[in-house]
Amino acid sequence: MYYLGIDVGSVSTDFVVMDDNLKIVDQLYLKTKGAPIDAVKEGLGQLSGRFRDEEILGVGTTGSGRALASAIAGGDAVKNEITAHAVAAATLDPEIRTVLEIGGQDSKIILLRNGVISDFAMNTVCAAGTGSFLDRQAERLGISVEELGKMAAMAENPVSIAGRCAVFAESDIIHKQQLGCRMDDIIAGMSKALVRNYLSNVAKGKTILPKICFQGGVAANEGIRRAFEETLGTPVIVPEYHKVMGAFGAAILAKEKIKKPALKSKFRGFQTANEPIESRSFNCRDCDNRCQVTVLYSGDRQLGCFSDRCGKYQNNNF
Amino acid sequence: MKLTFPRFGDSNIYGRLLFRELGVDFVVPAPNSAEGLERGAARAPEDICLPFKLMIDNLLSAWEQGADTVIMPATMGPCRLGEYGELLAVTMRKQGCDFRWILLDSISAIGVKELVHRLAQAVEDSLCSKRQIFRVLRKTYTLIKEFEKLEAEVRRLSPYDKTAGSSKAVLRTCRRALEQAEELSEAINIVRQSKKELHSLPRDMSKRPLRLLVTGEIYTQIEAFANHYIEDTLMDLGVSFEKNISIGWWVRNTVLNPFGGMLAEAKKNPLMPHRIGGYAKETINEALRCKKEGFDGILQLFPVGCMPEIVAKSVFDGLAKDEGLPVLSIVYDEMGGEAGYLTRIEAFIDMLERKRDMENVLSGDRCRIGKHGFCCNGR
Repeated sequence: MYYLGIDVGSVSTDFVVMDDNLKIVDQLYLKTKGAPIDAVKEGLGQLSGRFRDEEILGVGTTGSGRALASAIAGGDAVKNEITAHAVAAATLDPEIRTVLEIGGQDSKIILLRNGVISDFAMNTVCAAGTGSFLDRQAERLGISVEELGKMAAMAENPVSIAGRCAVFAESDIIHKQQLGCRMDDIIAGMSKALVRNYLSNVAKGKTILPKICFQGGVAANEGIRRAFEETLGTPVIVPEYHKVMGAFGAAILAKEKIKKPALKSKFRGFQTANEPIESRSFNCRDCDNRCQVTVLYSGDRQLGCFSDRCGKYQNNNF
Repeated sequence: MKLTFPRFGDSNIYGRLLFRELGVDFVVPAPNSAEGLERGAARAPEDICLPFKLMIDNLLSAWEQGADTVIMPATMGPCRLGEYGELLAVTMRKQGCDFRWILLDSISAIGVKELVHRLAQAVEDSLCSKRQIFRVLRKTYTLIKEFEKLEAEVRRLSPYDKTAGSSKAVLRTCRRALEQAEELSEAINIVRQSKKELHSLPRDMSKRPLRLLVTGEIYTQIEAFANHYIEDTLMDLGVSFEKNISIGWWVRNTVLNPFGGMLAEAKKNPLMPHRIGGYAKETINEALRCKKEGFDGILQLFPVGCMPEIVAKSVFDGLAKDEGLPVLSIVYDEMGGEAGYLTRIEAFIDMLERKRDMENVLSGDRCRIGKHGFCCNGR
């Protein structure tokens, strides 16, 4: 018997299938590409060949698209990604006391004490130092994101790059390129700038204690991990399933939710992948709020409804 | 003369009824909206805060409807907020809106005589006698007080609802009715009726919701559009909360009883001995009170670039460390995406619930705890 975890993020949509013993038996890492509905359907489609509907006892969703994913797949536990990441890390190793997570659009630090969150922070205003920035730089330099990490690890003399702001960092990088600096030195410098920005911005004022776990899409980048180790002076663990830790956490939360009162899952089945799911938006003019309401349909059936403040569109009765 | 005023919170309700009863010609600006914010931001000085951008749009909208005089509160002080009214006047003039301005400053800044003089300008067209004017003002204040009491009760009681969202619905219905009300006495009755309705709702008082304090910059707290309707979010998440800064608080503190404000100011505050402008000192005072009164945590709201609240935030960082008082600072600007805000608020509440449940276990309370410290009784 299995539990399904879905993490719909800005850059990637991840799936984890976990068994009763909290072991990951299958995982998917798909690019969201700005189309979360398609990404969720794609993932369910890929998993449909490997598992049967009855085998899924519970579904948990997380990430910025958690409400959407829950409406499509039928979620039992819908939790924010901070809680999901913390739960995943604590399950993996109860001795972890700091979680560094860098995703596509945001980065967070979570402090765990005795396996539970004691404090957290997320980047506030600027997205400098997140996965999207790395993605964009890799694209501009004409290499893949995976290569980016390897090249940074090879550098001997990292150049200094301004890391405060993504726009200035980019012009700094271009400037260093025009000066003829080596590509790997520039990339290593960029990694260092990213880490510096993270530590002085997101992790400001937080006590970072070992063991430190580094997860999220950016954790695949060897250069960034090394830069963290150098700056913090302690080893930084990157778990095997670092890319899908959010989905793993969601699956664990789904299990906890289902197990306690022994509920039946709301899972809508893998055939959802073949349903024609579309969203329609309209501006409600009934009151001053002027909500932009989005309704999700499978054919004529309403799956879910978002952004209506008064809740009057929730039950399909309009 | 055609009077107008910026929109914040329920100023449209109070202003409409007040000026109607006084017999002063007035217009109410269109409500704050995303399009309005765009229009305001395009005309605002660079780096100015969210309230300013919204107010520009309010006043543009009023000008289009024929308004020629603006009445608005202002607060003198070392913060740029002190020049707020003047800066807004200059900005509006550049847009070709040559308003006449009635700025209501605190008595300590301009004196009683000047304040009365300014207030008199607002009612120069009114046919009411002096006595009638005072009566209308008093009624307006009663309405503000009664409605804010209702709001406070909804904030406190909504998590106990047997049918989730029923308290919230009472407040919404009441607000809609107030927007349609014809006169002040009717409005006051509507509020009293709603209060009865609220008290008759079925409740489960055995629930133990978290108690939060919402504080921070005044406009962001009052205007729901500026804080992404955080009150609705908190009610949906099932927490009980208090919010003390309101229009009524401002009226009490600045106009009706400036002595009380001065007294509060003179009180010792070890963390911030001086006023630095805006409401930084008030925010910190609130936080210190929160510690004494057993709240579970604080939400501090402010717009990007708000100097007084940034200073308050750094004091909070210390408080969080030394006293173990959890604070979540939420910063608002033009960004309309809700996901990021919701994630932070949800995670903060998760964390506080876990923390409280752990404490209950340690003190022998029979609360069932999940493996990761989440209370299984709750959500």
